[in-house]
Amino acid sequence: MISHLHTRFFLTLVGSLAAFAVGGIVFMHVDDGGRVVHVVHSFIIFPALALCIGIATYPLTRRLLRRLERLEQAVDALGAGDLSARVAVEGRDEVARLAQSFNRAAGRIEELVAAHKRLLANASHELRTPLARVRLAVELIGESADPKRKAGLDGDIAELDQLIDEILLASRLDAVADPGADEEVDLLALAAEECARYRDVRLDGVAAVRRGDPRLLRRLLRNLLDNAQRHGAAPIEVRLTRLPGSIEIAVDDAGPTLSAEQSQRLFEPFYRPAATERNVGTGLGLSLVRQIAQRHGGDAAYRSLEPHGNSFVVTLPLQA
Amino acid sequence: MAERILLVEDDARLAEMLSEYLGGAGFRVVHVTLGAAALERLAAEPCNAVVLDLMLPDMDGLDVCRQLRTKSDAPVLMLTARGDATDRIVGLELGADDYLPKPFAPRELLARLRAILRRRGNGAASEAPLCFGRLEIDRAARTLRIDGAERTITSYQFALLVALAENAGRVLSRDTLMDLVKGEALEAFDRSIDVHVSRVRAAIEDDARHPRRIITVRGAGYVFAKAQD
Ligand SMILES: Nc1ncnc2c1ncn2[C@@H]1O[C@H](COP(=O)(O)OP(=O)(O)O)[C@@H](O)[C@H]1O
Ligand SMILES: [Mg+2]
Repeated sequence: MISHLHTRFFLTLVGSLAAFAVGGIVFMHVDDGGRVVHVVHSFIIFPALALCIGIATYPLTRRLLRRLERLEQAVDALGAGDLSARVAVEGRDEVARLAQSFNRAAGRIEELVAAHKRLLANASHELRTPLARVRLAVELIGESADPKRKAGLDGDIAELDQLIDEILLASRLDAVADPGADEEVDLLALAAEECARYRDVRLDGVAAVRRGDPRLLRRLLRNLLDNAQRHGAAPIEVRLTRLPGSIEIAVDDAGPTLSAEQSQRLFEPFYRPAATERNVGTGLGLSLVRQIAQRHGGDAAYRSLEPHGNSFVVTLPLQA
Repeated sequence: MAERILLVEDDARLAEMLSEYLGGAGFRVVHVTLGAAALERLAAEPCNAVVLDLMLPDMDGLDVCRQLRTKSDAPVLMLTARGDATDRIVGLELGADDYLPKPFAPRELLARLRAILRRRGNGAASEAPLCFGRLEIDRAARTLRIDGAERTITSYQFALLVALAENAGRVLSRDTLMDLVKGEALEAFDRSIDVHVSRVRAAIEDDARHPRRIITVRGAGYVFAKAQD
């Protein structure tokens, strides 16, 4: 197949050479003896030729570059999560075809992500409706039931709800950028609230307010506290420390220090050391913590404590 | 006369249980499964409030809500699943009065249902009651309820509670808190803010020694929890 772009370059080049030839003829004249005299000196020829080609091809390249720029912008926008990004298809050359392919691919991605979201929304609803039934059933049993057993059932329901939330959240965060909520979040207040869910968790910290998704940040704290409670040992302490330009949230506990091999893999999804297997859990908790931290421009890390104990540290940048 | 609730829920067993539960709390429940049926039903006979599931087989619950709004001004409580875009549900865009994610605590459903009904009763212009789990703070009537049962505190303490609740999720220093309730006549000058807070706690906390609603933040002040049960 003949390349449109190539043809156009070729034609433009031929055109500019022709222009140069015509120019050359104009600047030639015949002297008294009938000999052709070149008025234009050879050292001007090449620059002049280059200039001619440059001028002749300028509109073509400029237009081409503009179109490529637009395409680049669309690709960037798609990459940044704007799934509705498309480019206008102009002409019938390779760039146009590239634009068409891009639009097709972007359309497909948009469709898939929408389907994925629908599936998640449905799964969330389908899983939670029966859970709501169980919760109502517990309530309907009424006062006659053993309150301890009722409380136990409520705890089981909460645990199941938590697992569903974790699994759905993991697959939602993996999906292409979903901007999520963006609100002013008082991190110290959030930490205080989450610590109050447990007895004997100490909170020590400075005031820190930043924008973010409150639901995700709550999940981050809850996962860390939940881990300290289930896998670690008392005393558990949450510390909020101000660093230049960022805030550090550490959840410390006094359990036996993790081995180097374990600590390296903690943040991998589904990683659970053999010793943990009898505890309930998905192994998604810490990977979610990291994903949430990264979503807010920060990160999560593990630090061992002296002489024993484990510390999970989340660093979040504070906007100016 | 018992207040009539239109329940729009496609899960038959959940609907049956909800009818029983709400019936036990003194409501008359009319159940329909489909969005279209809900709109018909509402046109035929008025009801005091609508409990509407977000996902219905025939229509999106949000569409139902929008159409319902054009036909009736009964308050709407949406049942959603956690993670749904809830900010769109409540407020001007769709007109639901409140929402509750599944699996909800049944008593919270009752509290919220009562709150939206009371809000209509108080007159639409009045401030909506604040609901935190089973706790209900009716700013217009200056009453406080847990599980529908009224608790009494002094008016200064009520003002303190409102100041805290309106700033839920934010640490308030003692000074800020005092400023917020400055207009209130302090009935006992010798009591510090901490004493008043502990009185409020005694009224609203399940276990005042381990408060979950009003939490002390060492060296900073108090925070009213945003997520309560
Ligand atoms: N505070 C902690 N102390 C000891 N081990 C921990 C702690 N936090 C996490 N771990 C280990 O890391 C593993 C992964 O944690 P996580 O991703 O939250 O999954 P899960 O809690 O579901 O097992 C846990 O199974 C546990 O072995
Ligand atoms: Mg965990």
